[in-house]
Amino acid sequence: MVGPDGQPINNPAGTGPDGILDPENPVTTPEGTGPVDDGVTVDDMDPDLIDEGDPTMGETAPVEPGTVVDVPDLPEDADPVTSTDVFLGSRVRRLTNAEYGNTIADLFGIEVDLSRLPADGRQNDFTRNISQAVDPVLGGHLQTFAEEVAGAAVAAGLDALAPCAATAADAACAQTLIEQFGERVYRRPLLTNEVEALLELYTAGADGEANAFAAGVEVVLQAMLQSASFLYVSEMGQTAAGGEIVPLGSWELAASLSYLLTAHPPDADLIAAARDGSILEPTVREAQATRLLGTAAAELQIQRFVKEWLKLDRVAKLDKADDTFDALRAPMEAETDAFISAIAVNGDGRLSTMLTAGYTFVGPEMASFYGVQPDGDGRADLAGTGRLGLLQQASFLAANSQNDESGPVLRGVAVLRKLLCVDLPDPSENPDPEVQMVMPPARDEELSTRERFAMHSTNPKCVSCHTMIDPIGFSFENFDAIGRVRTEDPVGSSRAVDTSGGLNVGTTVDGVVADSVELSLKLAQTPKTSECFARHIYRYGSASSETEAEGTFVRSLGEAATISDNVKTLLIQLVESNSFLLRRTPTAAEQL
Amino acid sequence: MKFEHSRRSFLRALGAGAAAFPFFRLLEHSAVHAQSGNTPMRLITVFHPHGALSPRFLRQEGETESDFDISYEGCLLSCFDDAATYGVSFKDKLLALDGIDLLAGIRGGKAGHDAVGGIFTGSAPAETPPNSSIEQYLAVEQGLGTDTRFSSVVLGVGFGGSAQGENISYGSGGVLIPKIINPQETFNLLFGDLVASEDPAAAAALERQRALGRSVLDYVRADIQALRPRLAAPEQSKLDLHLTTLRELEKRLADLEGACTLPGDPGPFPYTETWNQGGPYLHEITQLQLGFLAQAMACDLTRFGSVFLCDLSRGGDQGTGITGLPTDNHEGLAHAYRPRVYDGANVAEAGDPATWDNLGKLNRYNYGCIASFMQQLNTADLLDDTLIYMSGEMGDPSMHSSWDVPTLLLGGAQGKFQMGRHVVLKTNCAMNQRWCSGAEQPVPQNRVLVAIAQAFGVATESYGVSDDSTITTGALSELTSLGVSL
Repeated sequence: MVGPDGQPINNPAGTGPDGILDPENPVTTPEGTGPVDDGVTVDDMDPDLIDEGDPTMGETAPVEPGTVVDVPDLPEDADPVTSTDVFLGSRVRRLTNAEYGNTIADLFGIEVDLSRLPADGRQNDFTRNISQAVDPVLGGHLQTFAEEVAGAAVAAGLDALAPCAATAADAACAQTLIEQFGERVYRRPLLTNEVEALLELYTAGADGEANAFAAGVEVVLQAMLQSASFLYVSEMGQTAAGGEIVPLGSWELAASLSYLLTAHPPDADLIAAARDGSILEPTVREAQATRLLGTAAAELQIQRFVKEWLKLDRVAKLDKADDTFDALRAPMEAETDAFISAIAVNGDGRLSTMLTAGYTFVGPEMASFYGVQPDGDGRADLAGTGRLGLLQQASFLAANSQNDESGPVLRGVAVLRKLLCVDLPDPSENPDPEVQMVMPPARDEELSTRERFAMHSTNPKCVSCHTMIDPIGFSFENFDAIGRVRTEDPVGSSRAVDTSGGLNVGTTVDGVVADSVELSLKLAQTPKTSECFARHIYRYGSASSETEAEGTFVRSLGEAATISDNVKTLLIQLVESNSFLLRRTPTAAEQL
Repeated sequence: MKFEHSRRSFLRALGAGAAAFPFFRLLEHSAVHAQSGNTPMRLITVFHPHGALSPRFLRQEGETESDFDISYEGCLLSCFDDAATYGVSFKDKLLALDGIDLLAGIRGGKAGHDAVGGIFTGSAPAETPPNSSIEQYLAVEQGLGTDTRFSSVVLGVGFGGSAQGENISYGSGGVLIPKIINPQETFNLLFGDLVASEDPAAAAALERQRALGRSVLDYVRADIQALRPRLAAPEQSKLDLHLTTLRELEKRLADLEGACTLPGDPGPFPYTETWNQGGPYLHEITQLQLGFLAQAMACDLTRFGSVFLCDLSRGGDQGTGITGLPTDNHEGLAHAYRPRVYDGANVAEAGDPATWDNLGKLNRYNYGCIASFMQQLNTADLLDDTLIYMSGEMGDPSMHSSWDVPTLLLGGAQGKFQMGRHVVLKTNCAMNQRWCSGAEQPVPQNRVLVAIAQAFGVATESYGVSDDSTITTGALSELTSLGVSL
């Protein structure tokens, strides 16, 4: 853990509150994490509930304060860049399938059937990532789509793309279309040689055709829609010099901002801010981001972020032994979408609220599944259900469990990695050959799930990790593989489920919990959770898993205890940051 | 406006339909052979999930590498010595290996399911591995797939996901090559545009469309090449895959030499994914996918293939004659398996044979599918020029161990390997002694990959990525020479 001055924070253990809540009354919202309250920030958080960090659990090595580095073209009101700051390299990010579909829809009003594309590759479970490429199978589909979309656009009439087509459909109009519509397709003005090359394609396509203009433009559109300038979001920076830190260009910034917050290409406002260069100013980016975060597209994007982060989108494709699950997939997803919208989008935006909300939003299927009575808007009080917030929603529980059993290790690992950013080593990475063997405890009719896993955690070589993992996982034992409440384990001699567990990860809220509801309340109180949330916002927003660049962004947020857990606040802080603005161009040694 | 994906419009405009004959019987007349003596070798990598029932795979006591039985009751390999079912015994086209360790993955912290992406790359996949899988390496990086319409064909059954553990094919720099799991898509890709037409006007229109298509690809290529010099190596690798893609698309715009009989369009499948009600179709899909790949090989449309087989989960009988499999073959089968535990050559614990049957059924099913695939290649007179490398990700499925992974090399391999053998590279280690001490050194699977690369004429002494170069270096000499005795 590192303070804003670059010095390690080294508070003696126990200086924070113990954070243990009244076990008699666990389903209460702790102070400062409370009910929907628009505009709440971390400043409002009860300082007594703030965990000031722990010397043993820091993910970031201490970094000496850096000296200020001169970055040419750095906007005046940007934060200074220091020598310890690390920025992502120049890069191009392929549109996700969803972004591709949205972009085609915005440009042409055509909906393509994305289900035919290979699934997005994932990093950190996110579809927005830098590893996505155009392989031969995808390339074939993109070629087909380009041909079909170009054909349909031509058939629909090209005056929608270039008004001159209505009156003077000739080569000059084709050039106008290439320059003006092309700017929207490439999300930047076209270079002279690009216009020339596309005009050559126009001429080749028009040659000898009865409807020469349409035939020529069709080939131009086919080329544009297969080009790298369309398929990748460019984050190259403005110059090609080796090893320099450079700001993204204004057009690159507009596109990056738009795809991050909406999964759509830049709209007219953003294009204007790119054209006049004002988007380079952090304040303009903040205003644009605030505007975009109010759109319906941003709502879907925030849902997508939360769901991919916690693997909740896997509900759509989970394979469960329980035959009742298929009918619950869509209702579970709808519940989670509505919940995220109510809190992250339309509520106070805070993770702590998502973790501790005593309500959810259900249709008839989930109402019956949970045993709750929703009001007319679908909102249902969770009191008495043993559920609270996001982690006791069926989607989280089902996505983080086995096919036919609760899977305490999966749930424990999910909480540690996704909510606390505890870097758990894979057992097989351990140099000890015995630990390298990943040994899920054998099924045994005599032992409950908990008893089986408790046995394997008695191995002293496994204990160092499993004392963290298992007590978290066990606290969810009252939920089965699809997230249904259960009071008995289906196997085992002592079948009554035991949800006692605890948090043992070096925070000041460490301690025993009676069940996962108490666990959620604890998680909502430690800044470790907020910092981890900020890291995931970065991983999602930057489409990267580079830890040093991530550390630079997290340091820019200030002291751990002051980091917001508001999803919109964090997104805006990200787009305002140098981490979003700056890239490092490669040196010759870093190239093939 | 809703827009459905379909075949390229200029081809559809020709209006002719493919001959809808059962392709199975047409293979014998349709193999396209290379012109002269230098016949190229084919490579197909095959993954089967959940590991193998090693007590029914390992060489039995008293056998030797050339004198061994695979036809005994319950033996996983019996399909390879079953002339009654497959027309001929493939025992002389089989090289079974006991004692292969997925060591690069193990050392890099990726064992069990996480080892899947490491099998054919010889690396430890983080989210993806750092390098190509062997068939992509040979087909693309070494250019051995250049002369065919498709450098390689990557197929799967039942699992369409992109996550770690769901894929075995990776391009340069470890970029994921997604697999096709829908047989109709496989058909459309491989055969959908191979439609002959007698109409000269249509032929002229096709030629014009192809010329324009080439110009479009040239434009896209220039666009990528303008970006490439400004990026660092990993980004350049990504764009290099895109350039490879453009070359692949360009090849499809060329005329095809020679005649080839086409399979029929399989039509759509309502479900293709295991999680999504695809279970009842997995068997039929497997047969179609392997049949299309065999036909594509016979037509010389490709010389490199990759197949990710299914686990029959949620499928029931499906006409396979296999009964009694649990609904979920991961939890219900692999994890439920109680293994025999070895200590060197000795059996330390007998295990529970009652838990073996289902895993054995799944293994025999997947091996049988490959025996059927070999029969099709044999009918097309291609089997002697083919090497199939088949592996699971685990030696002991219940422990998700990637030590002692039962490994098969199949086909004639042009005599590059000494087939017809069951080689014991090392005896199984005791389960708590995974780094076998003394004479029992691990056998890195990378050595198989090096030997395959060398068999394809590549002068390399290493394959895969590991921080310990002894893991990635050297060919497995036992593949090419007789006389290993243990």
